[in-house]
Amino acid sequence: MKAKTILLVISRILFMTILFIIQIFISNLLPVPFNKINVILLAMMAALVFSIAKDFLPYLFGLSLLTELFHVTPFGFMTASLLVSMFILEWLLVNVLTNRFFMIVFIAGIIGVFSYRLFYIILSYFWRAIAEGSFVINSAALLGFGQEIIMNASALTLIYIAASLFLRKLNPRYVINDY
Amino acid sequence: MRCKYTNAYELYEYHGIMKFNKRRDKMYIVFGAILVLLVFFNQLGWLNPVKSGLRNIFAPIFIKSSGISVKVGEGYEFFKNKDGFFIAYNECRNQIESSAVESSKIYLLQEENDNLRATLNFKEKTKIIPIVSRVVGKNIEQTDQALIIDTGAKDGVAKDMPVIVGDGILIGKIIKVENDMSIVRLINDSQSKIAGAILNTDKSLGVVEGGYGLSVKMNFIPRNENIQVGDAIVTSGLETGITRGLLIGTVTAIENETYRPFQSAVLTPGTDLDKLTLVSVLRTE
Repeated sequence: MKAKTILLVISRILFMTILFIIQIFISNLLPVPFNKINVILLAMMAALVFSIAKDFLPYLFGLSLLTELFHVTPFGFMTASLLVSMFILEWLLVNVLTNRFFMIVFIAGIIGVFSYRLFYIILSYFWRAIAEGSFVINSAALLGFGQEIIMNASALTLIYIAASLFLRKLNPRYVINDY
Repeated sequence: MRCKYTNAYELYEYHGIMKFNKRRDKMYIVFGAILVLLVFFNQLGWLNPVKSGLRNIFAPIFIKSSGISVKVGEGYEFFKNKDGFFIAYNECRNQIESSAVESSKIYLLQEENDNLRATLNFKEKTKIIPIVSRVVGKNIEQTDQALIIDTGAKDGVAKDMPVIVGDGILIGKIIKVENDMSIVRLINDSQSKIAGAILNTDKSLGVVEGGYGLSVKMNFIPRNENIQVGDAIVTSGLETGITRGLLIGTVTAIENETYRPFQSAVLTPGTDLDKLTLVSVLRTE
């Protein structure tokens, strides 16, 4: 039992490391607007939609802290934004958006990214207003945020559709249960 | 007393959700508290060894992906517009030939200037030391136009130092310094503001601002001053820590509206900001 748990933890840490490497390649290699895809945020939203957030939250928390090491803003901003958006989205998914129709997943994606970015902007605003004396959000920045919301929400919906189409068919547990 | 639940199921569902919410709230509070502690430890510098170790593990992946990005970008440009690529190549060759003549003239002038300075016993007030740095990669989230470089506080890098490429093309300023790495805000970032001067007859001053996609704008230029397309824009030296004369870019369009108190110039940066591999941080002493 212990060995199984250790293996599970190692496999999840490996999975998070792979996610981080994918994020590096996305931000460095893909053209606009595909480089706006945020793998960590996407993983968080997917974990909430598939109701496995409780198991993955510690790993996502670690992954977010790792990302902070290569980010412009001071340490903690991204993770704080991620926790707040997770909290909001989880509450909505449990109490309001209880249906799992793909349009609901898309809306959940929009809300998740929007709340994440909104909290991030609020934190950045206060930090930059104090440390640098100014904070500018112009039309280009707003367009970027819009692209980020659309790209991530679409990616989440695609993942959800793909998972609902294939996961059940590929999982042997369901085959055994049928007989 | 009136019961607020119409049936037992609703009562169960309500309490079930409440129970779940309590458990969930506790989980978020625990992680929030851990985050606050980590931020506090980070401020004290206790996390530096862990951060350095993790950066050293992942830096090669960043460098590799950044290198691939530059190669892919160049290959894409070549296949996208082959004719345009060859025209640009021939233009470059012509420019190299003409710049060779110019550089020989500059060399002679430099020599003459040095001799005159020596004769007048002129002493430089400030000494500029370039800190050569390798570009590790771009900012991990594409919300800011920023680069990660492999030199930090231990190499003498400090906040607000200018970062150049080549002989003196400004690409941005240092905004974040860690012990072993720094982050450069590029001139095309929406938060970037640099005091600039146009090399025209009026020596027009203004503020070079990013946030306009690939191009950069110089704003707050008085409307009566004469600007031409092709004029070079350099740093004005009015900003603390940034020396005068670093090339920012060249004017490609001028916006002079009658209802506005100032005119602005759209400029193309002096170098391609997506293909940077080696940069220098300028430390003034």
